[in-house]
Amino acid sequence: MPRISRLALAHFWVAFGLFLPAVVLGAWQMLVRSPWSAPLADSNAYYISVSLHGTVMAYVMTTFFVMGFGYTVAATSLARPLRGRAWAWLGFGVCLVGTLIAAAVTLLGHATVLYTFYPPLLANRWYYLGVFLLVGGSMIWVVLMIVNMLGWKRDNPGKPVPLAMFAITATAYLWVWSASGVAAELLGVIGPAVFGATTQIDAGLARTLFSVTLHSIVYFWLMPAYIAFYTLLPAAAGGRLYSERMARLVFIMFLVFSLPVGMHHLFADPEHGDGFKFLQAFFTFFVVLPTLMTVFAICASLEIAGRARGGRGLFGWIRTLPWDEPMVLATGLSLVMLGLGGLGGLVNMSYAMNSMIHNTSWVTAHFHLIFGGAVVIMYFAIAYELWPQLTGRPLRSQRMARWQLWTWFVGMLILTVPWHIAGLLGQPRRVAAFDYAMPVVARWAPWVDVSVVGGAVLLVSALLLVLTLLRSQGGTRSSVIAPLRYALAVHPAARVAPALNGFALWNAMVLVLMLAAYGYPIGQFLFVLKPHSAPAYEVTRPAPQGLSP
Amino acid sequence: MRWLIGMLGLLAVMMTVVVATSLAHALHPPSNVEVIDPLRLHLEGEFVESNLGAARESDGSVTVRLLAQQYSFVPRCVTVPADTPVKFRLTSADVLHGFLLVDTNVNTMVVPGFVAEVRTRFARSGDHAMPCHEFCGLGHAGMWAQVVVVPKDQFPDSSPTQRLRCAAH
Amino acid sequence: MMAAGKTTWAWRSWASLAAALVLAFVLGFMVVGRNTAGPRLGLWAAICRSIGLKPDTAPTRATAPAVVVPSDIAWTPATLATIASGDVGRGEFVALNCTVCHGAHGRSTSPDVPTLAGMDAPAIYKQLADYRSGKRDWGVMNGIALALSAQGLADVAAYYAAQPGLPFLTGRGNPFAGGSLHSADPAVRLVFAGDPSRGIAPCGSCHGPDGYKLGAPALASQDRTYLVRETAAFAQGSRRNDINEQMRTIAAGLTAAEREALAQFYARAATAD
Repeated sequence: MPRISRLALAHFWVAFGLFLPAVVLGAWQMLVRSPWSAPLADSNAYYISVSLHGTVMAYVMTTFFVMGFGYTVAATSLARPLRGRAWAWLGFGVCLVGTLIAAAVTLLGHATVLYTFYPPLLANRWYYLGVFLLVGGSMIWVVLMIVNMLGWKRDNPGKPVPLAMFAITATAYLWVWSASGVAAELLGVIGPAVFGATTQIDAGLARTLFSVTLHSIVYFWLMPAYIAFYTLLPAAAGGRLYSERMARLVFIMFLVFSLPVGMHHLFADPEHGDGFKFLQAFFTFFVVLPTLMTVFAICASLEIAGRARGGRGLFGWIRTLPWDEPMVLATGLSLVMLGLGGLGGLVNMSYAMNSMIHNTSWVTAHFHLIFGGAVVIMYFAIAYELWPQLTGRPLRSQRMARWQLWTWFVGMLILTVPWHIAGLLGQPRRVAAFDYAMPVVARWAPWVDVSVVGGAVLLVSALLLVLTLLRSQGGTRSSVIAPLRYALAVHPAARVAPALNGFALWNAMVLVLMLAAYGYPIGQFLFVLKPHSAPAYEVTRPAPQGLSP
Repeated sequence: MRWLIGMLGLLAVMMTVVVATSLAHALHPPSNVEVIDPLRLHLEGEFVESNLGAARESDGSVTVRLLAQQYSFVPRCVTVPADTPVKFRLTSADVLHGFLLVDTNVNTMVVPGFVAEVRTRFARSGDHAMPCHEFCGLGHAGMWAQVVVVPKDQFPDSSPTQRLRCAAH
Repeated sequence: MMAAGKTTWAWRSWASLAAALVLAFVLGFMVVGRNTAGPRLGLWAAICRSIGLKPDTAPTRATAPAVVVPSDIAWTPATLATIASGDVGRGEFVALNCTVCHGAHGRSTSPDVPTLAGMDAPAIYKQLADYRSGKRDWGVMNGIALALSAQGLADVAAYYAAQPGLPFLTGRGNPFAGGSLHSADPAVRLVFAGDPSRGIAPCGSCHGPDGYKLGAPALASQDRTYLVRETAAFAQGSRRNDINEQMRTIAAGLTAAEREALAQFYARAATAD
């Protein structure tokens, strides 16, 4: 356990250390967009902030957290040291270097392309290099997860892989499939333009390749939270996991169905026919299934725990749950946000309803609620759960942790609920400044004002998080830290079907689905459509030699 | 297991609704994939400046052609009749832009190299703000235009070669 | 036992996947695409439409009016290559003829004659080409541009672009410039925040200090009278050579007082920090 600590803590501190300034930027952005005047309010500053905030929250914080969590899971669930620790450190280094490069370039104003970096907008090449290093370095993590799982299977023939390890390896496979989209975009479309091989860029192809990543990446982010639901929560609540078989199925379904659905981000795009849009919408319905199954399984597991603690009647078990455990509290809050955010997601994936809210604030509110809310609150809970084991010191304090979780929950609702409404009223995305004297804009003002308050509450919460983790790490060592307990299933299986113990079958299905769903949509740009590229627009361009800007 | 069946049932219901509405109300996402050269829009073809604006078709419908660029929509204000099939056709001269009529579901991406088409019918007259909703550069926040819907009988009788715009207000 | 289990899972999963795929393809390409706002499509037409192979069937082209072309210049790679081929030395020689109005090294000392020193080469090239073709009309300039060779346009543009004068716009703005919709000075407001209520983007997003756009000249330290005259010409429509009406659209929304204030702002702006 101690051997993995430094590696895991390094990852978590990069994640949470960059998370805090990103929250500061977010709170500032909410103020700039509002009727109130904000310090340093200026379009340039705003869009640099959005680019930084998005890049850190969507790519950096998440990747580092998932990697740290993955290494911890591998070392603890398999009950043997992590294989390839040196490689893990190398990966960490590559990711960190990439992050610093990308962040620096963005801060200097040369990468104001927002975290989606849609061509023909083109950032400075160092930004893309930074992102590429971050994604590439994480592939070392992917390989290590697979190697560790396969190594354990070889040494334990016929035995079921511990659920947490199975799930994190599913996450690793999902990530490599997901990242292939942005990698293809970086190498095939953006790379040639940014290194001068061409001045023309295919915006439709770039958007389509990116859509492969854009939806599946949210499942990469989400899987650790679900792993916590299935493997940490039942134990924290004092109960058992309702069904391990169902849990394995859930993670497999995420792997299979999160990928051929990216086109629901392109419903409103002119470069695809509605046949493929429908196809991918159809499969999006299937990716909702594992979440619905999870809600059931978690409630069932909690019910087992609640009743074991004396809960009676239809809902009495809810009261008896140990809500003072951060993991239990976070789960409850997360499920509320998951429900609300999930309903919003169902709207987004139905193209008739989607056309009402595409690219309005509804979308921004949705992903803040579902990701920033439901998923990230579980990241906090995982951190609180792991911190004692990783630092060898008790959490200081559980009370502060609960305060932090509650303020995150409350702040997120105050931020996102009015934001959804503003989106329904037509507020466009990514706008640096609104003129509230315009009647159509004035209608949004009250909702925007409330959201600003939400941002401030979230800032307090983020400060509490970092404070709690710092205080805990700075406390005195304790020898009575209980080792990490993964939840046991109600009916622990001695054997598990090979299909539920490995990924060969499922990866094959992903391949078939991706060919069916994306084969023509991507291929058309290369083989069917006549030339349609647009000139790349570098957001900043270098001054010629000898000329002062 | 029962839960799984129940959820599949729920999803099947939603799926049926999507299919049914697409059949009954012809609610589709955009589906025509037309390519165009963004650099030559002002030289030839459908989006030359003399062809932008609202055009009356021979079947009584109206086609509105708009061009999106850093950082304006051209024309910046267009009048259309209510109770009439209206087809919006847009393209971009440079980077990604967005097209949204506030208070309607007229909403699409404008991708350079492609023609975006949205068909609708306005039930009521009124003004609709038309902001760009995709980040297109530093001037994105200023990229607003307008569509004015007038009662059907107030829409001018125009010849087939006339292209109408309103004075911005 | 193990092999049978594996086969059962594999068989059931592939069968379910195949069924789902068939259903999705049938629905997506043969069913949902058939009803359009126009006529109900035949099966083959629906499939083509759903793939995106054929544009929708309703007529899209009414009788088109006479084509009006604002400028013969398009920013194609070929045009940009021509501009890049301009030779500064040859251009300096040609520009000896320009100094009488545009000043030594392109720094104009006459009111309402533009400073060319430091102006972006593509911007100069396009205006000269537009004078040549008559798309931009200014008596003496039309004759002068016609007298230049095609290569001469590029050379002159390259020469002036290389002179110190107007700032080179890198697109990298100063986040602390203090311009927002809350600014008290109307010129500062328009330059840094524009006016969304009139659909006017910040001037700076194309003309600097923040932002740039191909063909949009830097304005800082440009001649004030010239700026007033040209923005008025765009507003009135007497100057029409801006591609896709981008300047006519903006200028028409500005009041005369604002055009004056903006011209003053830019004329006084420093060239380099």
